[in-house]
Amino acid sequence: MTAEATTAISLQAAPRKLRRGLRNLRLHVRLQVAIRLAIVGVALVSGLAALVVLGLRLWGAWYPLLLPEAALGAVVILSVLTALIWPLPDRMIAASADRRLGLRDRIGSAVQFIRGESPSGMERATILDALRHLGLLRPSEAFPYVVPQRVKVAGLCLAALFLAQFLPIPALLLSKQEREEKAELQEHAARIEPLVKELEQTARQADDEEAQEVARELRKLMQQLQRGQLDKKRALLAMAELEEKLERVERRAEQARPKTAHEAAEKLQRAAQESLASKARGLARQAREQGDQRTARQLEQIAKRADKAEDPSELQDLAEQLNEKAAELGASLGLPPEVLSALSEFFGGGELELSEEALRELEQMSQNVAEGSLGAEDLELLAMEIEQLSELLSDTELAEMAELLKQAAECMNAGDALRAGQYLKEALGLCQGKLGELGLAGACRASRLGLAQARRFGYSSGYGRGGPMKQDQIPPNAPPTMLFAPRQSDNPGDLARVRAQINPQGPMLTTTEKGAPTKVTESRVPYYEVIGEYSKAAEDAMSREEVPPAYRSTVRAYFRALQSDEAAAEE
Amino acid sequence: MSEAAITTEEQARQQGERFRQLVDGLKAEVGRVIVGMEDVVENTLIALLANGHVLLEGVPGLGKTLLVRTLSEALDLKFARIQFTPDLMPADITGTMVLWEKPTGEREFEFQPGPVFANVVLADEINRATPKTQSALLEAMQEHSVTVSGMSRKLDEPFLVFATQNPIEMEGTYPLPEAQLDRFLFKVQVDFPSLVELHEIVNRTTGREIPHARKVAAKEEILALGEVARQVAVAEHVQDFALRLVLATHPDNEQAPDSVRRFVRYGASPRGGQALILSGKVRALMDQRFNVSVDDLRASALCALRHRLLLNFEGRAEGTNPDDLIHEAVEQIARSQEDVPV
Repeated sequence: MTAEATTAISLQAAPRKLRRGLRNLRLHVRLQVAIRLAIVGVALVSGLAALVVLGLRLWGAWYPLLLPEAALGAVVILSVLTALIWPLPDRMIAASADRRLGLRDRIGSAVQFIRGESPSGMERATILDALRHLGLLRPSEAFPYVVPQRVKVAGLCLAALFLAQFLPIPALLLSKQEREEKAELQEHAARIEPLVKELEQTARQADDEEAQEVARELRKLMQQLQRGQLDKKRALLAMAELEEKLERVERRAEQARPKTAHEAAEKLQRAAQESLASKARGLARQAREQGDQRTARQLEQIAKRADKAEDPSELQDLAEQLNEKAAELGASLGLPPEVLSALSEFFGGGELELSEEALRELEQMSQNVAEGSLGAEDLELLAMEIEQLSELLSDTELAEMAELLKQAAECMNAGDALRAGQYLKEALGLCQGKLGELGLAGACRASRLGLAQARRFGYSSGYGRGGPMKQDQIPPNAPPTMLFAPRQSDNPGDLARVRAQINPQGPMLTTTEKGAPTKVTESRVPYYEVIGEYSKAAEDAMSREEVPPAYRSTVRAYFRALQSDEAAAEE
Repeated sequence: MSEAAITTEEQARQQGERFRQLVDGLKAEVGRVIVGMEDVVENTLIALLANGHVLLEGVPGLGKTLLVRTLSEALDLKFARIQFTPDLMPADITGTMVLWEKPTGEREFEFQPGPVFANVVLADEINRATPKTQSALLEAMQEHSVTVSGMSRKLDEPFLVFATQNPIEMEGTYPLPEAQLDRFLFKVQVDFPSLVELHEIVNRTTGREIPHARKVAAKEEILALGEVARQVAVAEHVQDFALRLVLATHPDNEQAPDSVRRFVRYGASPRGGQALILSGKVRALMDQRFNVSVDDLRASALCALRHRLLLNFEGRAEGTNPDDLIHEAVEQIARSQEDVPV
């Protein structure tokens, strides 16, 4: 192949190679254009947003919390789109690369010459020369990534925006009412703090993910309140939301209580009575044999009382006394006598603390079994009792635990104390899980009540921007910028037509109500302060069937509309 | 000698290599005689290869004449020197008709060629002759021909005029007319040598042997390589830069910098644009490239344009240096070039 032919082939491929080289350069330039535009855009938007947010916060006006961040995101997207459509013709890219790399217009000239129909020898030589140089260069050499000075400005503006958004407004800039509100919120947060801790602990014990998430949110809210990062409105809305979540978790946890509770509780109580009485009589015999008549009498007394005991807590007391006497006599009782009564407590919905304590006893016993510290006689006795307990629980929702207990008893009978201990521990774990769920319900309830209490302060101290005002003190020309809900009725018995607006832009609804104010005036209570309380009251009323079934869907739709509107505004 | 058109990349490479070897050889030979003055030598070579005339401006004794003589020696060109004086007549340059008696006793007028009939003409202190005499070179420089007694005679190619003038001693001188100045491709300023260069000059010229340049190429080769240089490609944006630069030296042009508007009466002629492009082509080949770049134009801008700017009264009164004006014009045009926004 001659040199001329080689050149001809090379020239055929030249336009493609040149275009590819320029495309790489262009991509690099577009990326840098996007970065630069984004930096400028972020600096401008965040700087402006910082000023606006600060102004709004000082003025006490509401704004969507994530609006500035959304605007910044939009700026970045817009920058990328702008960079994508930024006009970057081949000749511009080539000329810039030539200038920056000192290529003496090789690429720029080649871009022009390659368009000619029949390039001259010199033009061909230029094209190939340019391709050689283009093949050697890296885009980052021609257009190196240099951190522009504007990055600092953008960083400062961003920092200013985040400070303006999340830093508490200094007390000096707040009104007296706002300062009081914040102080009161902090106080409530401090009060709820131990409840949050308990909720976290029980959620962790119950291994309930939803409860743990709610606990985290609650913790975050409390921290924000304590730092004074939230104003009253946001705090109340967040509290209402969390209250709902807590109620949901509480309801779910409550459902964990066994459905067969009543029957199981009765059976267990009977078993506990029999077991306790029989153990007391056995110990009484032993005491008599040892010549301790006084203890024997006391034990007989315990047995009689056990026969007559009516509730598990009484049985628990007797079990404690029996334990003490057994310890004095140095006798073994097999299955701790309080276990059965504790389980009865558990099924009957009694005190959880008693159940937990009994289970700890059982745990200790499992440990003893596993370590082989029980004698053969004790082990046999324990196996028998555990087998009985297993039978008692087999028809309940603790059937799984019953199965484990049965296996433990079988292992004990077979003399395998180690495995029996393991089965007992597993059974114990199941029982504790159930107890944890019930404990979680209690913790949720406590936290929810704490929140509700904290939220109530909103109704008694300050009412939005207007401050605490009675209906008759509202100026007639006050601008209708909020949803005004009636707080109290002067005319409790009459039917009246009430107008209400869901939000400033929403439709004006008219409805007939009983006990509404006789005069159609505008309340000064913002909707977000009352929505939680009112929707709950409506749900309660519906659950008590005070609201006729035909109207229930209307009532639910009304509150749903309010909440969805509130959520949309938040977004 | 006419060089065939270059049609392939290989031919371009070969010619480029040949060009480079000649230039390197010439530089080396001139360097044996001339100390320093790299820019002057380079610009003179560029003008020579572009077949353009050069006006060398510098105080006496800097080696201007020696440079021109050395070049003609290295290229085996016919050299003629004309010392311009106020009493020099046009016929002393172009030649004249003399009455000649044949052996038969018959008498007839015969043309006696003047010193202009050479390849390299050194017009020493050209500004000392009267405008009438200076203008005797006009036709020769532009048309490469001389008309005497109504008969036009072609000059031998290559025909190059290297004129010198002293910028200090202006008494009894006649500034070159614009038309004449415009015919020079380059106006090269010869600066005073540095101490190191002075040492070298003294060492070389006061010893037993005076160095001389050896012949590097014949005039045919010079002409052929001049043809090669003319085939160097110029991209549109590069040519656009040159022509916008020429326009920017005109005070009424919208791209002219403020200083040009203030101090210039008339800017560079189209010959300025030709000079920029031609010299750019030669520079590109010297740099082993096959395309003219904006950098080539920038490098030639001062030499190609400084003598084409006609300053106004304010410019002359202020002592404005045309080089500064050209610098500003170049920067102005460079700034207006389109670039990526990163």
